[in-house]
Amino acid sequence: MKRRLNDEDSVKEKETAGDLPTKSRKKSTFTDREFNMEEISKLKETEALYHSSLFRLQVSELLREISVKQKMKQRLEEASRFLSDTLKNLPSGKEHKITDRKWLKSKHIKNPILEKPFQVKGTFLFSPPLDVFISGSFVTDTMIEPDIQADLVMIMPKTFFQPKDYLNQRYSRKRALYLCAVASHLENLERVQHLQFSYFMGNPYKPMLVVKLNGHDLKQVSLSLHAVPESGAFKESRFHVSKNNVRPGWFFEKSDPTKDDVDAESLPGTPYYNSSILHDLCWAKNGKFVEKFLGGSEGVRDGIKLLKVWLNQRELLKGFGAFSGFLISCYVAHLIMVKKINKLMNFYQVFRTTLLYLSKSDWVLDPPSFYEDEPQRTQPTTDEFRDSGSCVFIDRSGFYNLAFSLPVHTFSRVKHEAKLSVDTLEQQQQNTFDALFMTSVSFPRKFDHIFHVEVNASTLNGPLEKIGGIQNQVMDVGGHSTISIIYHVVKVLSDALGKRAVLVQPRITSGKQWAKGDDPFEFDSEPCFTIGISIDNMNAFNILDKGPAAEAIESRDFRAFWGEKSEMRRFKDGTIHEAVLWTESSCQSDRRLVCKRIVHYVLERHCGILSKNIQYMEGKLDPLLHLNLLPKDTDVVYGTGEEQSLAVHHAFDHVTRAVRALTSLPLSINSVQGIHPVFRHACVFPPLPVKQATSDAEVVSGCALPSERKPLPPYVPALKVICMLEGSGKWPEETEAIKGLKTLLHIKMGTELKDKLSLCVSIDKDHVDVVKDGFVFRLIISNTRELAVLRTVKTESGMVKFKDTEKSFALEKEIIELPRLTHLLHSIQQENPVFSATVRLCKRWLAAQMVWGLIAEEALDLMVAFLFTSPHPYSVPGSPIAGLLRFLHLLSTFNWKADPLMVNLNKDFKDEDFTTIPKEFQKNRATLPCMCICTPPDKQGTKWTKPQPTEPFLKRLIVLARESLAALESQIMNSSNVTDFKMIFRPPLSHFDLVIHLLKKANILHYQGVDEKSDVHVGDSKTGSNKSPDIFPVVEFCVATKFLDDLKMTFGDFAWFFYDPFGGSVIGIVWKVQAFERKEFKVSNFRYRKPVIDGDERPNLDILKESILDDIRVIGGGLVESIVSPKASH
Amino acid sequence: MAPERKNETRSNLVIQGYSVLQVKASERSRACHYLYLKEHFSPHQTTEWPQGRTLEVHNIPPYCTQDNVRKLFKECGEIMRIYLQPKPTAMPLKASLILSSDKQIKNVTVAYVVFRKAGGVKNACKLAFDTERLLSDKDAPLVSGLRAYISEYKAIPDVKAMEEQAEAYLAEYYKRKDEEVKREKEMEGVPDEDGFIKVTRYGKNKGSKRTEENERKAKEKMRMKKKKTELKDFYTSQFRETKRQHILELQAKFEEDKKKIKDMKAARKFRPY
Repeated sequence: MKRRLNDEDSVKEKETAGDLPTKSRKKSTFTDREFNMEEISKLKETEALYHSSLFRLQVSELLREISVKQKMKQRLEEASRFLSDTLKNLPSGKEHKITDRKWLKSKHIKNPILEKPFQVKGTFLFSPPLDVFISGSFVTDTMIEPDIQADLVMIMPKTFFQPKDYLNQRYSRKRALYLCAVASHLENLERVQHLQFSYFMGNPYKPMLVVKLNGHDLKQVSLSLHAVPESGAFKESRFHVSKNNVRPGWFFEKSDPTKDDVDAESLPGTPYYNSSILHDLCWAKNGKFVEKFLGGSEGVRDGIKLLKVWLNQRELLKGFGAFSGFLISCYVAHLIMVKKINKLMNFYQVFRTTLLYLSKSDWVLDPPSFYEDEPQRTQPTTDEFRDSGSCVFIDRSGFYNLAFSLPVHTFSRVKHEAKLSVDTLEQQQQNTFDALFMTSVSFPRKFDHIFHVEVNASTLNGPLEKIGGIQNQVMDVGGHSTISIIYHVVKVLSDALGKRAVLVQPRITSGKQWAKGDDPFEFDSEPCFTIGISIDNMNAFNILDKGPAAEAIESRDFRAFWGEKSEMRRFKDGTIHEAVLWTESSCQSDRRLVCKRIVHYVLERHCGILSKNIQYMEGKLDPLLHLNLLPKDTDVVYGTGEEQSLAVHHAFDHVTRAVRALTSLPLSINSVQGIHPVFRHACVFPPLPVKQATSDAEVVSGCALPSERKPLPPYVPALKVICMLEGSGKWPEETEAIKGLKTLLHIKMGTELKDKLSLCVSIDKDHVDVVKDGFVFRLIISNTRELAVLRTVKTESGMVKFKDTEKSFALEKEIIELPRLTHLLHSIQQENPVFSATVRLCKRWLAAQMVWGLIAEEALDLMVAFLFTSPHPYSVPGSPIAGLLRFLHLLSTFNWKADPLMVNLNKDFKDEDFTTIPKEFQKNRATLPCMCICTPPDKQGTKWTKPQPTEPFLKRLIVLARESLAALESQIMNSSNVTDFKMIFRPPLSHFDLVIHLLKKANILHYQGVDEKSDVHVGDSKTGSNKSPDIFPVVEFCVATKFLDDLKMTFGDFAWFFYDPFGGSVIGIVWKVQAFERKEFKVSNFRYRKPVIDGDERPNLDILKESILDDIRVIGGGLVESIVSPKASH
Repeated sequence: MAPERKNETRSNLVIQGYSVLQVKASERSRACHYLYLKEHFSPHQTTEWPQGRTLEVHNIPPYCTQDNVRKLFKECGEIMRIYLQPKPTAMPLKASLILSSDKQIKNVTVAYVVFRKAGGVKNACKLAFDTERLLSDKDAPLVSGLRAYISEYKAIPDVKAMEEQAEAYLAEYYKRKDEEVKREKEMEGVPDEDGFIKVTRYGKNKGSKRTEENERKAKEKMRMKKKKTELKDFYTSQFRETKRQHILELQAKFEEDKKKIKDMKAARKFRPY
């Protein structure tokens, strides 16, 4: 008999589960007394229908938080009733000319619309609204916190309008005046607190009046007033998308405006203007239609709320050119209409389905539509809609495009985000909820490249002259030239960048509000506009754009687009193509800036925007990774160090080959792997080829030595390389003996390398140093046997147990974990050339905070790797700046206490790991370190976060990250060209108790300092490799770090020491308060304390601070310039 | 606050058996170190630190060398040996294990000074508290700072000596091991006094190594064997049990999640603005 869990059974099962407690199974541990049948079925439903039960609970909590409270609803309802009563009973006004400003001036109100040109015919006579109704998200109950605003719509009577009011902005101006008149009445009301104008959805034709008034319980509510014409006031076909309703003759103030009226058919269409009016005409109709579809379903309602939160977190919900809340409601209604969503679905299903269809849809080629009847002749066709340049979503009437203010680039962003989010949901990863709803995807974090274009006379006139047909668009949007310019810039850039860019999007300026007496908001008055580019890491760094074949017809277009930059080139396969070469250098730092060059070139060529008006943010932090090399004529170029890492890798390949070819070792070598950070491209300043030691240096048995009388030699790091030997029964079983054997092997290895391959070698007990191409590699022979020996413990019963000790832990890290990690991170760099610069920039930031060493370097590497392996809610970082911002955001917002960070290296996590690891984590939370970073080889996540960082330090680090993030984001979004990007890399010294200034001659890495401009001498790698150097350089000799280590070791009980190892010139000291308390007279408290005897009391010990400072001076003899209190000097 | 003098007659200061001395690193020093001296006493009699002739000196500065200590106490009597250690112990720490790095011990805090005669210790304990003594002079200079780092680097090991040392140690080690193996082989199959025969690596019937891992594996094997014989979801009750387990699991997870949510709510994690 075979049974499966199926639906029929589950019905029966519910019964059994329900009456279980009364039956014989009472004795079992079944504790479901409080779970009734309903709850159990809910659990089952959760399992089947939701992402996960945790997700469901989280979303329910979120909904509770963002939903509008019942009290607020009542307040709003009452307020709107009050307002509509007042409005309906307003007295009629006197007749004025539209251009008459006297009556407005007497009321201290300015018309909230840009009037350019000012002269227009027609009169204005205020009459109270026929009706006032509440509309929008309040009716469908899809409002979300914060900034709750209900839409109140006034119906302007037919009589208010005159014939031809549709023409030349007359409708819009009268509508604006209507709001002014309403405002002038409302301001006298006692309950009204606040009156402001704003553009509805940023649309400059559609001002709205934002009224804040006291609710019946005296709490403030906010309503926005809109005005729409009575139905039948205008014919809808009048506003056909391709018709002209703003006459160029009038707009450009030509001498003979009447001519336009004759051949109106041939004039350029004004789709934006038309749609703005149609929006009012069809408001009620579309509103009702959507309400009908959305009403009565909780799932749909909550789903829309979630979608709004989702959009809002991506800065896409509000402002000009945004994806409005109404639009998303319409789309959900559309999906219900086409039966993709049904009303029984829960919020998760609604949310997911909508995103899924958004990610697949195309609102230009295959637009959604509410229109169901036979198309009429007067209605625009889909093609005509499409030609208007925006996205298309045909409304109920068939005339109006619901998405007229949604530009194509915004839609592609929404689509892109939807795709990312659907992927997130599918991958079942941790923190899905956070990625979808809680993480704010701010503009600087989202986009890899960001640039600002200053708005001034030159950037406005340049494009207006250069771009064909733009004048008509400016006319269409009511004289706000920036709007049209931005659209053009984005379009040209998308064409120019092609495959290099995934997204090109202007920053959406969110709705500005202004007081009734102020001038209306003018888009051209903004200091700048900002454009973000999300790049494609595969293509963005190509230095060459290959065009069509020289003889092809398309080549003419290509030449026309690129101008003199385009040249004919012969390619390796023998073909001749048009091509554009952007840079001669193959430096990664230059490659990253190819997009910048393209932007500069294209904007000047096609838009007339000069590069001096463009502030391009990418590359602004590169100086922090740059070094000035000397001599200038070497072929070593130091951009941001990527090439240097590669040079090391290249030299390392040679060394590996040499080591593998060794014959004198009795055992074969299993693997040769580097473990220095440079091997995973994560060394802030990769080593430079060493300069040949001069002959006058002190030399003993082939090794150069430092000397007191001469300047200190440059710092040469020894790059650790683990040579894993094969296992053998011959390996001794005692650590000391293993060490002895290893010494002999090292000696053998070193001698052979020296004699046979004539490499410059220095042999020590536990390593062999080899110089190759000016880099020093430290070869360390190891074997897993040593690890086993260190771990082995024999119990009394004779059983052999393995137990980790501190030593075995350290050794395991060095010979097993680090090679593995290095390998995995190396492969991330292979896929993403941005990884290296990102991780190094992040490390630089950490070091600059003078907290280096308080958290393991590898933990940092992994956090950055996380940005690349699990980039949600973003895509993989495409520039070091974006990477740094996201790193700071991750560090400061990740809930380290409640979750482990799961870095899916090489995608080696299995599905069940995503449930078991957090579960294990929860269970053992108390014993785990304050920060857990799990990787597939390390599922507990403690390898790199024990014992550092400590909890207080992590807290401090989070604060530092949060502050730096805020500062850097605001710097990036600020267009000023004098911004000092090194600011966040200069920590204040004032919070230290004392500061040790180091002598410059002792600080041999000073050229790496944040503010240092000095040069560094390097050897020539070319000559170095040909002529074998005979003198082994001084390695690993950095007295500043040695001094720091000594300080920490000696005075660690009394103070903390902080230092930036990359050229820092000061060491900060913070005293430990508890060390300064009076201590008992005991041996363990003798250090740096003096005895005190108070009367008959037992003798005690007091700290001797002076003595500590004295000893710091002694230990730092020849290194310390001065020890000062930063508080006094600042 | 100046420490009060306990014993006025002799100008030395003794607190709880420790004589206190004031010492300066050099003439340029601004402050004194307070050294705490005592005769070394330990239940373990060691030849290195003979009873009565060994002086413990606490709180010596970290850069202190043997020369410095010698300079300080040479007036008390002839000094035979000086041990510098990072922490006080009952027996001398083994001076750097044979093959581990034998770099100078850093961060010393305690010195053990062995005098030729017992009088040396007594003299040292009687040294006057008031006099500020200097740790260094021309013959015993301070080796610290840059100079110390440079001289430390200069101590490059001699490869030849290293090789010889290692070879000697290994030869000794293998000899020792061989002997052990030989002994074990001889004992193979020979019952001990209770009549038990020890299983060793060398017998015919070796048996697997007794490690934790192996025992766990064996247990697992047994479990799997047992499991195979069981019939799954055969009886209705079993089937019901499986389902019940499933629901229980769901419930447990639900409870767990609810708890998590509660924590998150407390941390205000649900405000997307």
